Amino acid sequence: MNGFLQIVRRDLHLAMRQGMDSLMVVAFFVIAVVLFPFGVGPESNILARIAPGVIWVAALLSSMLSLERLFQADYEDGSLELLALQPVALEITVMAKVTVHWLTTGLPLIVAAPLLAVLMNLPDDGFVPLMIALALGTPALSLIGAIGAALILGSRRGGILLSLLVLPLYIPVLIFGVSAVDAVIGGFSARPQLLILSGLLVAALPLCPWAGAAAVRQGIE
Amino acid sequence: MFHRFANPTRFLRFAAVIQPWIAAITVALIGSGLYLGLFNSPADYQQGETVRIMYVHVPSAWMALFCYSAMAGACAIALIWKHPLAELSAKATAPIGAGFTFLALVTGSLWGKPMWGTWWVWDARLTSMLVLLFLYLGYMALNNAFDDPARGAKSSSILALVGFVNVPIIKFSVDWWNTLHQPASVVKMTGPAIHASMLAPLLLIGVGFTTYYLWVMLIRIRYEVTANKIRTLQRRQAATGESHA
Amino acid sequence: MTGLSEFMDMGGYGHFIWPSYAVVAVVMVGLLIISRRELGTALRDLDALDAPEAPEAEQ
Repeated sequence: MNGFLQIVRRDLHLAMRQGMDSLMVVAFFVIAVVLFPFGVGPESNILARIAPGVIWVAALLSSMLSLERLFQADYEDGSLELLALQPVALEITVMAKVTVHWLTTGLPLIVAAPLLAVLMNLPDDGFVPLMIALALGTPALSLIGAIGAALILGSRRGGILLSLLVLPLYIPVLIFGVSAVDAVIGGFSARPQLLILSGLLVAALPLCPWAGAAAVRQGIE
Repeated sequence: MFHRFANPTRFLRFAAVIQPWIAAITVALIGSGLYLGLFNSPADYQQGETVRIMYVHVPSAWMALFCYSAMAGACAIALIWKHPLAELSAKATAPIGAGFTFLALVTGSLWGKPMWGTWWVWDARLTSMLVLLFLYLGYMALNNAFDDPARGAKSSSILALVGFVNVPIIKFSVDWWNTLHQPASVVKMTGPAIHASMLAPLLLIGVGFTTYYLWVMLIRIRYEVTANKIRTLQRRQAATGESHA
Repeated sequence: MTGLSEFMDMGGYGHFIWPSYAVVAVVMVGLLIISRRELGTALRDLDALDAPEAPEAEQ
């Protein structure tokens, strides 16, 4: 636990020093969503209908854009190899980095989501399920994305390759995240969708750090 | 059996010997399957002659999934037991599987157009196939994204296994999504009820596609082994070339 | 079976059935040919690398 907190504190410090990163993620999130009214027209009904999907897709893309930084800096200056040699298990290190990624990417997205929901004319009923679904989904996105980020270490064209690898794996979270919001707006309970999202998160919690650590080990060999 | 073929050279010799046989069996199976499918089986009572597309669409879809499973299995063997041919057979399988996935999508689209009037249908099966295609492309891209091919192989092996675990999850999600958004007319790629005269060509082509996969896979593994040898030789020559000069 | 043109027409669906079979043939045969060519080139390259090594080994 101690090692975990140490790495979290360290990475948070590094992230805070470049405070712009979180702001840029949120800025991208907002711009991406704002593009849609320009694309499909400002008619309220249409925007309301597509709002959950648009917000979720933008959240996916925003989360993914900051994944490259997860391991890259430490990989380049050799810190990653040192971290792998620590008595702290590499899986815990990965978990710590994922936590920081979520705190600097996922959490700001959740905070920005209500604003975007207003811009997209999301019906009032949808706000709470959207927040809950994002709260359950964005950690899963960080976890799944970490595997991708580890796999591309040392590769050419890392960033765009990362998108190709990670986006298909994001699809289940996307489907259930949007479905949860649509369900409540339609007058149904979002319980099944939220339970499934929780299940995905619970499954990802042990599996993704394990796969991510294996990928990191491959990368630093 | 696997231990015998840990030696690439021995495997190459074995591959060269059995390849013509596999080629012949493939041609025979697919040929007879096509004959039965096109000439000797009835048109479907509901779908008419378009059911004949099923004879290539369904086996392509089978192969798309089969190849991904084979690829994932080979990657697991590569990671756990480090059998030298395992990684190569996975790498060899990927383009074949991707090709079949593409064919499943295209033939599915051509089957769907006369039936439902549109070129693309977001039917659960076709949509899952599309995601599967991206999984294949990701694997191939990652495999080729490193200067060191061994690193690319290991990285993509992990990806293949992660993808394989996700296939049932993705399938479940897509099914869920599809039933939610079912339009008024039930749009499903359910084939006709298959009876015997349709089953024979289907199975013949299915097995024929499988032997085709073995055929092309053998060629590609031989290529990978040869490419490895070339690389080793080039490295050795680069190292000793200076001492000769 | 009456006549080739009726067979090709396939009850009006010929425009979908034959392209299906065609694309399957193109992809499968194409992949086979490309793979064989890659193998052929690689084997020739290997021989080229092996050959100059032989006289050097004799020195």
